[in-house]
Amino acid sequence: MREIAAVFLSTVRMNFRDRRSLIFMILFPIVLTLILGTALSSVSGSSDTAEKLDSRAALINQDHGAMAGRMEKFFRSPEIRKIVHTKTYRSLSTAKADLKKQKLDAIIVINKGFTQAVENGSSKKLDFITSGDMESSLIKNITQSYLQRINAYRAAAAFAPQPAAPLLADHALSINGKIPRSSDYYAVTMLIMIILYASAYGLNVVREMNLSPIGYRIRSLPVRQINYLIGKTLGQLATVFLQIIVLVTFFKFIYHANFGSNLPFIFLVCFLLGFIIILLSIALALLFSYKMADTILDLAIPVATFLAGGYVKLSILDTNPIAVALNSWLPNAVAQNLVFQNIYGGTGQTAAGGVLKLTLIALAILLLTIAALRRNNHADLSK
Amino acid sequence: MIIEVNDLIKRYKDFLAIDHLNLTIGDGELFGLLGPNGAGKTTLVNAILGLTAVDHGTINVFGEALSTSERAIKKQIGLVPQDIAVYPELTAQENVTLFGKLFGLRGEALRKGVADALEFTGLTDIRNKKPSQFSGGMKRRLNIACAIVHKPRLIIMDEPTVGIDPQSRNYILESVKKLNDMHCTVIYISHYMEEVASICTRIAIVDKGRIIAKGTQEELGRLIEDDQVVSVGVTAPDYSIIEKLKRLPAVKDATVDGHTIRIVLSERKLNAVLDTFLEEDLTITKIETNTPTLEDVFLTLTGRALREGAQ
Ligand SMILES: Nc1ncnc2c1ncn2[C@@H]1O[C@H](COP(=O)(O)OP(=O)(O)OP(=O)(O)O)[C@@H](O)[C@H]1O
Ligand SMILES: [Mg+2]
Repeated sequence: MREIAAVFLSTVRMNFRDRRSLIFMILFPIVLTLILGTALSSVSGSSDTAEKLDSRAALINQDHGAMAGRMEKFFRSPEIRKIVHTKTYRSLSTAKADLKKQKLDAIIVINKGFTQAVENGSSKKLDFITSGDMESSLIKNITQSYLQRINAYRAAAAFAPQPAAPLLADHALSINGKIPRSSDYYAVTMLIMIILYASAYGLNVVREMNLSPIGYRIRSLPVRQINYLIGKTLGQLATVFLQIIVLVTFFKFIYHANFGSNLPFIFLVCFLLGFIIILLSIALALLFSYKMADTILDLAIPVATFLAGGYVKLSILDTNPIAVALNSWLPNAVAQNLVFQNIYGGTGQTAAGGVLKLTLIALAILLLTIAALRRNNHADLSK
Repeated sequence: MIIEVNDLIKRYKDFLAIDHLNLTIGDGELFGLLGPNGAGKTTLVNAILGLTAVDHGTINVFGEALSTSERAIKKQIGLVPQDIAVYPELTAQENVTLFGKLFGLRGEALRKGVADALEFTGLTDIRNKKPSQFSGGMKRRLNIACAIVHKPRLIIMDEPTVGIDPQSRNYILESVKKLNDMHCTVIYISHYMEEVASICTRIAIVDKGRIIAKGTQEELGRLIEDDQVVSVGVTAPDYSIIEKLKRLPAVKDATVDGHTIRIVLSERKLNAVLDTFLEEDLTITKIETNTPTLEDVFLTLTGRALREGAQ
């Protein structure tokens, strides 16, 4: 017990010192919500409280097509300007000189042929020249998620007979007639999405044990490996739970997103989802390999988020029988629906039924993880 | 006996990593395990600690098979892994404390163990810094501190000085000797002949999974006591002379390193060697004779240098 506690506490301590993961887990969903919830929608929420981030980018438009124009407009919108100060430059060499003088954090070059490339579903015609610091990676992330969203629309438009509308109002979420503002909608879906990315914490448990010198040292200690792993996993779970609490608090009290009145229920649902994803990642990494699990999750998380309507709410997701069937068992979709129903009401699954479903999934994955751990214990892992 | 290894065999598929190895290490020894890359040194350590399954043979630690009381035995061992194994996000003190707890220490014993380990490795002043701010030598020292926090009876150090500056290396070598003086048995693994020669009381030379020689430094030296090492400088060495030299009955080994040809002779007779040089019509720039070192013992026993690139 004592060793589990020691490992647990130091794991939480380490995670909260790891600035990069913290930024990813907390700042990234906030920024994404700002982008998805405001800049692309005519229903604009209040966001005068946006993080004041001082990142400066140069935009060089060599394309002058429709898509390039839209992108320029996106960067000029007041919401985005709060995060990134974009200045349009005519010549690349002037911009480069300013980057050198540290007047800029990044240069975004929209190359000739960009509009056409985006219409063909690629974003190859976009160049980033960055100083390599944190601000510049933020700019890159913002631009790329913007493009991802455009691509999601285009992909959806290919399925749907009617053109995908950028407005949520077309696809009421609830039959009660309460419709979330898009900023509220994305606060929930981005929260759910970032919980899926907590998979990285799960993968880390296996990487440390099987692929790092630390794991080797642990095996030489008078400690049962399973106790170490339990402490480590509990530490990762606690970290993600704390991050969820921070995020929801931020969204609710600073961003004023609507999270309804039953926060404990929302936390319960998020915790269950966090538990599922962390244990699932551990099981996958043990059953296949760390790399394989990483690849699978990297592909699966955006797909699952898309299917649940995380990036864009499309009516096809509610009508296509395959999408409906998938969504009724995808843990992220179940969790997301539970949260929306809790806030906005509506029928469908009952809250108890949904929570039961998540609990069953969590138990099944717990059993899978235990089985995978047993197998790992018998493996010869001298290196 | 601290360690008894009997007829140990370890295979990786068809590859024989440990080949019928026998070894005993007594209480209080500072035992050196010397061998080139891939000799099987780390594999032997893994087998001793039960970190890898073996194919044949028995191992006793402190007179018992590891499986009979694994926890109790491991509590008295400290392993310094070959690769640095500390948490980058924890400070030096937090690292040592965590490992102390995992060794079962608590309360005053823990506090004292941590303070002593940090003091011993010279990290007390920087105990609140994280390893990411450390030099290579400091990281190596922290790697050691984490393995001695519980004051073990046996310390196994797997190449603890790889890739560090001479000053840190000397510091570490001195501390190993001090540990041994404090009645701690040490297994010191290295492929640096000078290190092993300078601190170890007994040495085993490992190659291809076998112990090819063991004893005190003097005993090993005596293996090639009558040998003589001759270095001959030439302006333009060519490889045909090596072949010719090797065919001479008195020559045990001959190698080229730059402009120097190094010859190990089993008798103190240089005539035949010099004749060969004259026959080949090579210009001799210098001749040097030395008494053999551990390096030469290895060279003579295996026909290869201990480290690639070493002479
Ligand atoms: N898990 C493994 N699978 C296959 N082969 C292995 C494995 N571990 C070690 N070997 C092989 O066994 C041999 C001995 O390896 P070992 O790590 O014991 O050498 P070493 O003496 O410690 O060398 P070094 O000085 O490089 O650390 C090497 O040839 C290595 O390639
Ligand atoms: Mg080794």
